[in-house]
Amino acid sequence: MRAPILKEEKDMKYLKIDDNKGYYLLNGQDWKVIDEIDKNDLLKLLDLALGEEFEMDEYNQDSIGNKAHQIIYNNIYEKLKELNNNQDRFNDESHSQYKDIIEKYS
Amino acid sequence: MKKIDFHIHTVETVSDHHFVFNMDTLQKYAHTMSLDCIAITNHNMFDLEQFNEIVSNIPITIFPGIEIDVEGCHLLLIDDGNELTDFDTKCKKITTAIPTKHDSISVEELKVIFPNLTKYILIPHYQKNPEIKKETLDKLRDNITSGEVTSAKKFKYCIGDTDALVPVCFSDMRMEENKTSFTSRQTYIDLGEISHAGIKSCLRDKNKVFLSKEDGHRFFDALDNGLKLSTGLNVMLGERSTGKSYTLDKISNQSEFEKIKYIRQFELLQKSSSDDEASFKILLNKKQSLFTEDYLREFKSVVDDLSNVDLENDENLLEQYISSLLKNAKDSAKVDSFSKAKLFGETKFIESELNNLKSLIDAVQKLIDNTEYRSLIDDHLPLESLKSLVVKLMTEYSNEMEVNLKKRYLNDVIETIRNNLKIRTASQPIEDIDLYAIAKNRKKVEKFKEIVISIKKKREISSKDIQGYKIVSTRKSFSNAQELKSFSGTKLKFSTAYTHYADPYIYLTYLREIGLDESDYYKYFARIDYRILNIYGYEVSGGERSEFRLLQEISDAQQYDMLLIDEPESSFDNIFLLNKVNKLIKEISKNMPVVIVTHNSTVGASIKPDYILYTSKVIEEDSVKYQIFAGYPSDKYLKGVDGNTKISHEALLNCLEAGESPYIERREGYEILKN
Repeated sequence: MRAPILKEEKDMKYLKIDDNKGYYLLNGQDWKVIDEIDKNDLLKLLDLALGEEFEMDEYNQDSIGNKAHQIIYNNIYEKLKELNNNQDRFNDESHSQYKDIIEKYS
Repeated sequence: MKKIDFHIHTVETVSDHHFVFNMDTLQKYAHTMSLDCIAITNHNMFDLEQFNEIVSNIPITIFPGIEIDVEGCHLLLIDDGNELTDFDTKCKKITTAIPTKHDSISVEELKVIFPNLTKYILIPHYQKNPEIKKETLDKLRDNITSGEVTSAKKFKYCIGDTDALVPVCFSDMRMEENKTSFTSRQTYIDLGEISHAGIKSCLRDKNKVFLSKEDGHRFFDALDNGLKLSTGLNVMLGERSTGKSYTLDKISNQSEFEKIKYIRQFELLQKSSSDDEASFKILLNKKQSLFTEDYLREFKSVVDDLSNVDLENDENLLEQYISSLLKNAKDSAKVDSFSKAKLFGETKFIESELNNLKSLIDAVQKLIDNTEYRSLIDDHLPLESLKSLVVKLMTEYSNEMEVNLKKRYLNDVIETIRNNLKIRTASQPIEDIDLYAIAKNRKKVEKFKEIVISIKKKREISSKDIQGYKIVSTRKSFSNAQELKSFSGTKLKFSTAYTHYADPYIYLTYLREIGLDESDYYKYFARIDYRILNIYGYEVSGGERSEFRLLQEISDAQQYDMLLIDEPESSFDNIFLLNKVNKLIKEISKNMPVVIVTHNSTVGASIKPDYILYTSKVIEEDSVKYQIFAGYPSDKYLKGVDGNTKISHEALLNCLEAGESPYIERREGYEILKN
């Protein structure tokens, strides 16, 4: 199992804590406040979390002042961390999924 | 040599159709078929009184027996008849244990009722339905040496197969009133004097059981009039209206247990161009459907798998999760002692999927177990390392499994606590969600789309030559909704679904709404065409269609016990018959009995049969007498079952060449043309 990479380079980070608030990034440029997240954004994060490089600021209750942000950030962080931890398994399973069948019909 | 039949019904039971036993029928049967020994074997019962009556009426050896339903199979159990009362008592227990035709007992239960099974002769349905299961046979291995088969073909096959039981063929007939003809399925055993022990000993030895009295397995009794047939190729000759088709009909109706392929006269004749085309189309569709099913089998498994994927539902779950999360966050001010509890907002553990690890263990185990490529494997991967690896992988598996079980247990605990907290607090609980499962579903759909894109690509997927014809299969996409509709052969509407044809997942969801059978969805993604072309690569003509159908019908016979063909020359030319039909029939006759009726010298003489039958009609005073003569092609005389003879040369020339002088004239005519 691989531990989530928690580095500081901006371009690989998708969840961050800044100025006592939680933020998420989808397009590589505009950070959105965590309480604006919706279903479609979460779907995109889900794909990103299974990608090659995915980083997040570790949840730290003391760094986020806003109680609502704490709850949302923590919950989503845990979910994405679990997913990211299982990235190898996911890739193995995806790779073998229907592999023979794809070869047969190609 | 003794002739036996150990499978005879004399009492109607819940497993039989209605019949009334008739002693005269049984007497006549034993006499007509020249039986030396029989056994009475009714379904799950024994009638002692009737048995004694049969013994006193029929002057041959008769053993008491019973046909028992054991683990879904039928098992004949034949007693020596020395302790009839004891046998009767045991059989009554069987009757009680198997009250309906759907019941059966286990081998263990059988052994409770018949503790000493070695005392009996046990014969299960072997290559006959309902056939004995391997596990049942294994349990009775010490007591079973022979098995009942339905045909001469299967009998010969078992003789040749070293692993097969000693085959026996029995009539399985109900001795009912007004029975005018009898099946000739019995077995000859090489035994001097009839005894239970003697027969039992013969049924252990494949060299002691035979299909015919004098000719081993090369012949078998075909009809109750004494007609025997070669287990290879028989040609039946005879002038018009001498009983050839009648004889074929009789052979084909001989036994309800035998599968006989009967290609009747003119069956394949091209009646009209449209009829012929229609029959050919039916054949083509059948073949196309089988091919499509085979080619798309794996794709079908993907489509079936997709029935568990609902992206819309996944999105709803995400929606519920996000809104409950946002609501919970918003309500954070309302936090009370219940919602403040950490477990209230706790997410569930996700169990690890261990399939990959499991297949990895299997793969390493395969490397360890392989003997064929042992040295090659050893050169690269030492056995000790592989063994150590498999142990480590198994330990890992066991650890992961333990973690999963703990997670499962804790998830239950979390769920219970959360539910208890939920009913006491005003705060919105956060819905749980399995992001991993959602991601997996999305990936599955992605791969499914990839497969469908491939399947839709136009390509020749198979091309093979069969009997001088070329069978070409191609795949391509459907061009419009109308094409889908005509392919379905229904009145269902495909127009809405087809508008989404480019997106396989959405298309599948629309297919589900059309009203198609769920198991057929996979057929509507790509079109598989199946064409039969002639040797030159063109669509087959009318005549070629009939030829192809005949060849297919003959090939189809491989799955049967016997092949009967009535005058194939009625519809085809000699070159085709000589080059293709004869060749194919010869090939098939190596594995099963074939009887071919003909007037044609190309078929009759050139095919080099193993045995010749000649039918004739004699009018004596006011009555018509039908006779059958038979013999080897090299015999000077053909012999009748009544002892009369016929000169082979004369019979052959009369039937195949319209007599000797026309034959000589024709031959001279050809000589003149040649010179």
